Amino acid sequence: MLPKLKKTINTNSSSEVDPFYWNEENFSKVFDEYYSSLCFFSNKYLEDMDLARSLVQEVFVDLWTKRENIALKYSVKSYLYTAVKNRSIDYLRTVRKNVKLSAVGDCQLETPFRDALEEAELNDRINKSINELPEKCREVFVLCRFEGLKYSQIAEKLNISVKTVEMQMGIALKKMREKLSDIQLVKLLLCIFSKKK
Amino acid sequence: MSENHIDILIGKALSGNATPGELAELKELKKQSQEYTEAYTQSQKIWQHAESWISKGDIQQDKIKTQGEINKNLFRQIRRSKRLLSIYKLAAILAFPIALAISLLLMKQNQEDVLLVSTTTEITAPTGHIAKCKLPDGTEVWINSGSTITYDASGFGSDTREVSLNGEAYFEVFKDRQKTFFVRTPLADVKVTGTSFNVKAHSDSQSFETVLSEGSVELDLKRQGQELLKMEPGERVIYEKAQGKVLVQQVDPELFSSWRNGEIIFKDATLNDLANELERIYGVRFRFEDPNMAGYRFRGMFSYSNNLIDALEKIKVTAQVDYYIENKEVWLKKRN
Repeated sequence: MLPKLKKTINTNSSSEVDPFYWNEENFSKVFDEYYSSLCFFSNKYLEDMDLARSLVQEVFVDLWTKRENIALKYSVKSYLYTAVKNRSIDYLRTVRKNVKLSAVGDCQLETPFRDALEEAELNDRINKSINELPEKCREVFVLCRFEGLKYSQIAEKLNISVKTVEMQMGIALKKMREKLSDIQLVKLLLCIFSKKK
Repeated sequence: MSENHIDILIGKALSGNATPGELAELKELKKQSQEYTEAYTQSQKIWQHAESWISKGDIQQDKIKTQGEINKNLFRQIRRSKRLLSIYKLAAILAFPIALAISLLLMKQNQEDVLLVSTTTEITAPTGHIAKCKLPDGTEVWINSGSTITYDASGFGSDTREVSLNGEAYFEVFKDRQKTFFVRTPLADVKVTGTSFNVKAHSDSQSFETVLSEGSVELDLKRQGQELLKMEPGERVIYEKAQGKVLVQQVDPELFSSWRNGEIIFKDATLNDLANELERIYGVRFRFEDPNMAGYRFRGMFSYSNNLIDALEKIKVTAQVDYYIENKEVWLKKRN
């Protein structure tokens, strides 16, 4: 274990900075960049967001504590997505062995890695844009989209008028469109570009 | 028509709150303008791909949790490697007396009149661990983390029983009125026949203290014109060399020997006392962001089996301070 620590220090002192070198700053950077997106990615397999979250956390913990087994021939991103994918599938195989994989689950396992990754990134961008909405706006959108409440129910719950709910929903969608339009455009361009190749 | 009328319509349509009339109106608007069609398509995409939500707060919480878990595991690894180290230490400790015994035996067989060689045995409790040992006369000694006792193995028990101490140890001395038992430290000696007591005399500090649990002991403080000081059970004697002060207190002896069972109890201690103890136990350095914090009062109980993070969490709750770890140093800071 001690030689391992030494190795870590060596890697860090060389010109190529080890992205998994343990310090709070390094961890913070990698976590902020990939965590939520990885959760959405894992959720594609597990279809259970809470489970996906704890699974991704485990991957992060392992990454920094069992790092001697990690060959850094991958980029940080591809390492993380591969690790999360493998672990998610392992989970489905072992824990849900007895439960027959649902038709949807089977289908999800077949989803090509690239597509799932891109889809997860899109989910994450949308998630970020939801989190950036003004508070009232976000509250209304979340209740409507994720709790499936009707406008009248939301109005009652938040003690506001149905008219306000309508307005807030409109603002939420507009703001999110503005946030996402350029990203989608870039994505579209990339798609065309790779197809030409 | 207000500016955001189209947005409201789109929202209603996507969430299933639109009336048939409103749906028809939206359809008509889309037909009229390319811009509206685009707005609808994009909104629809957002609606469909927003399949689940993780709030900012949740992400932050998960981050702190993960970070804590990693810290915990890293410390566990360091402790594990230390534990391995302590097994080697134990082997080294055992090897020496065995080798000594064999050589003495061989020497005795060869020449009966050989003088006994003066050989010292040294026992150190590794950082984070308590060592318990039995001296040749049956006396039991608990040695606190990082402390050392030394005694002359060959001469032990011939006329007197003598042990040198650097650090903290608890003695349960085997009763033998003929052979007086001495604990020697740089600042004071403790003279006993049979009794239980705790001695704390770190060579790097200018103070000596002992707490008597039962029986009686006599202290020989190494300063001029000092007679032997006789102690009663439940008494704590502190000798500060710098001020030349001797302080006698009535205490609960249990508080001062609780470390034997792997627990340390702090009662009205300062944060500085606490940091010193934890430094000895976990082999890390503590630093205060604000030097005034060293004087904060603290009470609580720690267990040696706790890891450092558990201990820090406890301090955080009881002493109203926060901590962070940087370069193997623990920084304590005021809570805002």
